[in-house]
Amino acid sequence: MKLADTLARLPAEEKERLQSQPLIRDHMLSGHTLDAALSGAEWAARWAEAAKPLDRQLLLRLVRSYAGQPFGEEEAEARLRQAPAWTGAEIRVALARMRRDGVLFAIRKAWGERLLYVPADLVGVWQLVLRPLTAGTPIRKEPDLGEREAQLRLPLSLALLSAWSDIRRKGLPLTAKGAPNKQRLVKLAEAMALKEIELKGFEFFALPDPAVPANVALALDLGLSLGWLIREPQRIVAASSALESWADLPLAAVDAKLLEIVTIRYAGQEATMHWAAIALRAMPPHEWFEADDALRQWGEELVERERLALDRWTGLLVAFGWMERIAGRDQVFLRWLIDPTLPALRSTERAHAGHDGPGDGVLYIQPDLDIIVPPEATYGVYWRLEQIAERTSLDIVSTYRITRSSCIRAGEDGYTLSTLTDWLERVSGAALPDPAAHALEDWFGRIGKLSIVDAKLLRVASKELADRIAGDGPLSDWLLERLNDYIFAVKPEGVRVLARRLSELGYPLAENRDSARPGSSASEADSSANASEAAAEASAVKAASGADLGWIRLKQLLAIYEPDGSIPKREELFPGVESIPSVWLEKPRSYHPSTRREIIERAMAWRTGVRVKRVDGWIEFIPEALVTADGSWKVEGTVRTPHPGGTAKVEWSGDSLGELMIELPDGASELPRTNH
Amino acid sequence: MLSVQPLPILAQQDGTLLVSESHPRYAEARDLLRSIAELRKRPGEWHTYRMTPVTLWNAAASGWTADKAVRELSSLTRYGLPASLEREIRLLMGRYGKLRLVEDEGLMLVSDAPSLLSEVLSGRGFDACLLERPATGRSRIRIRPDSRGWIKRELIARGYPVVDEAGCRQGEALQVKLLGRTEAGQPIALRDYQAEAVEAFAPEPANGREDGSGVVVLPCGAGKTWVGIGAIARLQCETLILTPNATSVSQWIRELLAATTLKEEEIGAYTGESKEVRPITVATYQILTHRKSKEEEHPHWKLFEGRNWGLIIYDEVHLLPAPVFRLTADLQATRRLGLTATLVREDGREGDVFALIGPKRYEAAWSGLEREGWIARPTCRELRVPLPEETAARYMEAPKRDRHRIAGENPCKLDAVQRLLSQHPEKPTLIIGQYLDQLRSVSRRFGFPLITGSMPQRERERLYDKFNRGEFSVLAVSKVANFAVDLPDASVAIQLSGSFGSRQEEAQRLGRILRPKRDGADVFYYALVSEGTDEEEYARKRQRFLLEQGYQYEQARFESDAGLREEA
Repeated sequence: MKLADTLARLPAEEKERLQSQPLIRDHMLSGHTLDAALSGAEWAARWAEAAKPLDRQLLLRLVRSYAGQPFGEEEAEARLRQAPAWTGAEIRVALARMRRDGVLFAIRKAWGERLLYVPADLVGVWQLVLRPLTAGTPIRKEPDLGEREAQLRLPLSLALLSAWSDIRRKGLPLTAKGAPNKQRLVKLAEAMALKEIELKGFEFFALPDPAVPANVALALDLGLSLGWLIREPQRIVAASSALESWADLPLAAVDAKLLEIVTIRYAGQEATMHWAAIALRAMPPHEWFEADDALRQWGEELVERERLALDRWTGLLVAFGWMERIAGRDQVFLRWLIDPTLPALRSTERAHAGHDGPGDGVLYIQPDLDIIVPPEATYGVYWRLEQIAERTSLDIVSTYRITRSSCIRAGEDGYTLSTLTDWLERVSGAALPDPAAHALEDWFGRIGKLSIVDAKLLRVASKELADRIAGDGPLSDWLLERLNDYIFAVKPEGVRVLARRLSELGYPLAENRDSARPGSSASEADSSANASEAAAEASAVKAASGADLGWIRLKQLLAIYEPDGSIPKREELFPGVESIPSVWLEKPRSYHPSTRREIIERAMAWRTGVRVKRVDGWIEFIPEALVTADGSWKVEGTVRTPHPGGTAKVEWSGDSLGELMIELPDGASELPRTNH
Repeated sequence: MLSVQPLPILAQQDGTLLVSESHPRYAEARDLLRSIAELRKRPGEWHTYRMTPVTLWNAAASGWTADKAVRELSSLTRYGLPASLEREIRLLMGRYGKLRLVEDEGLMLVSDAPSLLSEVLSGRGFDACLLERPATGRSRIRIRPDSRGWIKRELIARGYPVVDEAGCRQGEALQVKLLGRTEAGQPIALRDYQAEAVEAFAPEPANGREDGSGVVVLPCGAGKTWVGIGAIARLQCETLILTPNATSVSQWIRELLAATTLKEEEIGAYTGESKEVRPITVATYQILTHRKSKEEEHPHWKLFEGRNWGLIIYDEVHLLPAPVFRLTADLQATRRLGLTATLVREDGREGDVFALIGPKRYEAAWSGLEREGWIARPTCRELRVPLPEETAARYMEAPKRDRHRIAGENPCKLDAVQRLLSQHPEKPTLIIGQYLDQLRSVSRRFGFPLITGSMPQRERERLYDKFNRGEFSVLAVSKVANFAVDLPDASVAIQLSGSFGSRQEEAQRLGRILRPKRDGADVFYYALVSEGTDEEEYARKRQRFLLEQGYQYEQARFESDAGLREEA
């Protein structure tokens, strides 16, 4: 779940609590909303600077282990306390602190289980803020071209455009069970520049319906989840507002947006792949670099699993036309073809580059009605050209052609000669060439001249009565046209009013069995239009509830669970803490062996450490197992050595322990003492 | 960094190259593109070129390397050269010269690349033309002499061009020179572009350039016949000239006699009416393909073997009938020259022209010749003529197949003709039509002579000559005058009707008036189109080729009472 969705679901008092956090409050004082304050890289960097080392390391490991997927506290504690000898208590307290600070959020399942998560759109920000790229200066030398994967690669924005446009034009019928029509699927898949085989290795594209080709599943998933497409009971259609919010963006900006979505939505399904995807996004655009430069973010822990994840993900990026890849003899070279920078890390100047205007004057219209569309054209221009022209090529520079049949189609979509001409002249920044203008005049000279209107017939027995009806004021609103002396065409929706008025005039209508049948044309048309509106409304409601509208079945959907804004109290993290002698937590002392054992057992239950005096001084000790034998007991555990991160396994008899106390992690005392 | 500088060329991954003529570096870009690609159209500011295997091999044959092509293209391409295109350039240009045909006690296919021969010859059908088995690693394979055309065509279809170094037969020598002056004392000299075309096709030996067969593309009216005559004079050999019709046969003979040292007894006509086989023989495609039944051999194909021809000229090569292609495959030892105004074929067989006649050796753009005054700049005007009420009703009721004719024969077009003639009094004018009944009506109503396909050839030539001498100023012609009819003084053409959407026909008809006029008079081309009918759409399709060549049609509406109301 993204930050905005998360915040939208939080109760007001939780939001207030967040807003009162000093770091957040500072940001909000400078004019940011809570959403903007929490999603900015600057806030993340400040938090990291102020955070305890353990918190920073823990968050990085969470990001790497789970990306934006939810995790249970116990599971995380078990998984993360291994390597750096963190105690479970330290982890629990750090998690609570990160929840307090608005870094982590929680949901609660119906049966009470609590899951934590990093908002999906902030996972990358944390990864790059906490582990900035230090190694890997991009190489300047062009690698051997012969090895480059040099197939026709369109950016994903254009591959999707053709599929979405096809659905806008023809719809995608669904069976009663919700499966798409197979013939249409085949045609959609064939027409897409991105081929099914290029998505091999990403099995989740086959969910929920393996019969849907992966490339079409991708187009449906992105279209539906963005709200450009709407699922109706019997078909998938394009929303009337499709692409509206992207209409002013040039292709490069659309692809940057798609990269962000694809990273969160698909790479986010596997934490390792998401980590690789974000690591790649730290690399500069348009420069060749070695794949290992990106991998170095993993440092010495680099293993085959990460290499494989990177390889799979770059394969997808190449297929999406966003990256070039060359497999050299010993190394893989990569080059971004778009700007991969995370939105939160993009400078204001770069974020707005190319967004200055709606794309006026970017097209070239030739006298033969060929239209040349450079990549500076906005996505909205492409989308509209798909509606009014025939696509002849999608490429770095795309070309369209306006034809008679494309004008007929445009006419059906409501264009007139003047609206089409105005738009073409605006986006081309010039008057249409004469031959082009003449052709449009000819074609539109015959478009829109005929129309089919729903009407009902009112048959009248005599001409005189028909004359009276024609002259009746209240009836005139409902009469469309007098067809001859005895028959009127009347508005179908006015039949009831008409019948009442005629009855008032003393001429009740004779029953007409045909019109009494259900499913007459007018009602069918109405019901079809209503179905679209209802589906759009249903989609909006579903989206507002945070439910995922996409085609592909994703992993855990957090939106179906209740948000949990409560911060764990001390008693919850350390059960029984209020009932033990407070001195156990405050000061080392010598105790009776049975009390020593009780203290050790309590520390083990809380998975925290003890401070113990040995002959060689004070030791930080994490007890892990207590063994009783021959009437005595001994404790096994880990000792933290003075070296940073250093540990040693030890086994001590209970008798050898001197003064001791339970050590709760830093910050535990700041936690509230009682539950609500 | 990827280049996003405002450079003039936009390169597509499929080899399409668009260039802006308003860019300051346009000339540089155009010169580059002419070397490595072919112009597909230039309808407006952006000209479309296409890089194909053939254009790249042509460039390689002219000495271009892949490195040079990539470097120069990259330096002028706005969004960078797509990697896939760069790879294609390197791959295809790298193949040029890898396979060669040489004469070494017989015809040999030779390759310096190990295993290439066995790889490319492993396809179906090659066994029959090999005299040896293509073992792995062999660099030379003997092939059957009669498969020379076939093997070149098949290998190029598989993406491997063959450099034919086996040479052409010289043919029987023939002394031919261009005269210095005509009988009337006019100087005779090839224009610059005609001389360049001759040099491109058959270079002077001293220039050391590769010669061979190929096609010269010149606009209508630019004097393609003179390129043919120049080639004969350069090669000095017996020559067979093939043309689309008997009128053109007569014109070739007339030009050859007027401009060269050839005597009448050295030139023969081989047509339906005459069967003379002489050192220079001019024949029609029709007679070559004539046979009494489909089962019968083509009796006139023996003409190709009738003499030891050193050169075959295919006039209007885009009209070459399919059987002549098949015959041409067997004539690869004879040098071939194709002449045409357009490589566009309505049947889409442009590739066969390349494979069997040869690559394009020279092309002069229409606009360039216009600028230099070698062809006239026409005013093209489409005149919309409303249908009379009765005809409009008949048109609406008629089945679709009959509508074209009803629209074409719109009786109001005759009124429009009258109006146009009154606007161009005494100007030599051609009235061209598809339907004979309509042409006869015009001829009857205005008293103009009419030439149709049923008129004997001699009578046609008599009328053409009278028209050229100015004895009458208006001539009505059927589609027999679409091609290869030389009417140098015609300055107005009125097209009454045409055959559906034929782009080629429109270009050829316009070509009838493109000869520059002695008095420098403007030329006018009118296409009469019935308003509100399917003719409008057909006209648009017919005009597309000319639009793509940079011509623009003005549009006007004919109103019988109020006169012409300009709309454009």
